[in-house]
Amino acid sequence: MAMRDTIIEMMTNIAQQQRKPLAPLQDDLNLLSSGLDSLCIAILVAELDEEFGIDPLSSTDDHNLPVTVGDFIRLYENAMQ
Amino acid sequence: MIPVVFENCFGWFHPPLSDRSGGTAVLLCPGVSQDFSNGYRPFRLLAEHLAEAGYPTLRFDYPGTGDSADPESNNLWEVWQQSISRAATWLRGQTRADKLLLIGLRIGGTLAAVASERLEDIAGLILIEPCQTGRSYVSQLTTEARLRGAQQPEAELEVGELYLTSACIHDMRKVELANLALPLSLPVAIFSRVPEEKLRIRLAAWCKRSINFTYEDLGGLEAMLRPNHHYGEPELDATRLLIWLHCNIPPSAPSHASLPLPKPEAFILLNCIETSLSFGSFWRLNGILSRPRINKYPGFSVLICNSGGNPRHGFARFGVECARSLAEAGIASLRFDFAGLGDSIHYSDRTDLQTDPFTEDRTNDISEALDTLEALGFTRFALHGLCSGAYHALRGACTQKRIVQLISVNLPWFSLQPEKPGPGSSAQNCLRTLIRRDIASLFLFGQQDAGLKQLERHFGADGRFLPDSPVIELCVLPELDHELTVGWMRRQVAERIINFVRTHQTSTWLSKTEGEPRYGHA
Repeated sequence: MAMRDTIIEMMTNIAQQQRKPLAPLQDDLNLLSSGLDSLCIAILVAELDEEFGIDPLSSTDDHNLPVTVGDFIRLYENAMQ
Repeated sequence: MIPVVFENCFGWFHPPLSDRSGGTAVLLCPGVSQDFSNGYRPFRLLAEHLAEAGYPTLRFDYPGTGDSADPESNNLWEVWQQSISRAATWLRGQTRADKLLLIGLRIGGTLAAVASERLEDIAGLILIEPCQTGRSYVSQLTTEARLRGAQQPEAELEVGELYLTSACIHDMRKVELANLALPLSLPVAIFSRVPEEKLRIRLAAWCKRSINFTYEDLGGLEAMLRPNHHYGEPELDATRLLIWLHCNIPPSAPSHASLPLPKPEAFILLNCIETSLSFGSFWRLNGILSRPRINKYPGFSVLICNSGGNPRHGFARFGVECARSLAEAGIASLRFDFAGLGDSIHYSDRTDLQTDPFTEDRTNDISEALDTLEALGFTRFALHGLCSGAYHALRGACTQKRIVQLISVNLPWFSLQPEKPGPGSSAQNCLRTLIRRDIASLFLFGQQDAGLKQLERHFGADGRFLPDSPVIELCVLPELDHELTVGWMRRQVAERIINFVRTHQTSTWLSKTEGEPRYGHA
């Protein structure tokens, strides 16, 4: 499964588990307006780490944290290359 | 269940229904942070099921979490591992169990697996959605802290009640479930949402070493991971876990004469003595009385309510930190769980029912807690709550004649029903009642808190239309978040609370506070 699809699937599952209503996941959607709160995104990062063994966020400084869903996906796609 | 204390840890022992000793005992290893709070009540229910099935069971809080003491060492990972060893020793000594079974949730599962490498007599291991690597859990905590915007110490991590030093982070990151050298014959079950095929790939190293494990999906255990303020969803169903247990590690026949049950012990801390209390009709409510070593306000006690669906420890353990700060200032308190939350049981025939943290009427619970404190010699009471706890405290202060102070932090609303501001609104009625009854009331908010908007809706910007009374005080603190997720926020709020309590212990009402921005009436 492509990284994009994996991330979207994980986001959907986490939103369901944490009982958060999820907005339609489009690339320009602000990550924190997606319905996922900071805990949900943190869980997502941990699950991606368990799945792929990478955490590109850890080497991103605070000013360059991904803002949109698209930024987040690209960060992981680039890290996998 | 019996409250127990060992080596700076607070816990609950659930003896089996039959009078027995020996056989297999169960040690529950909770998660930490949000996993601890979400799993707290389901762990109590699981412990009850296990005890009913014949397994003496101990659940406990790691040092620096829940009702346990703060750790002496600053490497929490090391401290938590040691505490599992100590809990195992206590449980063996208490039950004379021949074998121990460890059940762990999330990072508690990882800790239980690490402990299984070292401890003797481990008869089995049940991991519920374990963190497969310490690194991924550190990533989770780090991301959460960063997204909350809290400034982090260099190479260290502060998130909620946890402060992870660089040594702790280093140790945690090294741990990988797949690399643990579990005893080959150890029965292991993993209950997880991760599909079986994927999990077996991740734990392929176990298969190479002939460590077999049973895979089960989460089944009825989802309640352990669900946000604890969710109400009306299926309760814990431990049937499949118990079946696996019976098949693999049955509760063996007692091999020793029965032992006396442990006696509830007081928890002796540096500045206070804490005692677990069961009270109310049929002793269904539970709480922790925190008595200062030097009581500067005899007869006075603060009653601390739950925040949201969290157990009495509160958001980021503020309930415990607040109680111990109050004790240090010479003030007694009781932090307790409302019926159907944490360790308290619902007033119905079904002991496993959860209650709605927001809409359930808590008047009766508060009244019974006050009765208990009165029976212990207290005569004057403050009611304190954060978030939903602030709402219930406000209602309690308006209905209970014994309350002399109200301490509300980040009150989300004055009424559960949407209502227009005006003279007949609940907000106006509540404040009129507080003033009429001379209840010194502190309304403390973070500057960005949604609750402050509610207050301003009823009483104008900056609370300029709050009733002109010396008993009503509004305090707004900048940079405070709703759940007090950083240590300095909790310390600042605790300090405000202590100052407020002290000020209003005198007969003259003084509502002026110094320093931080403050609105309302002096």
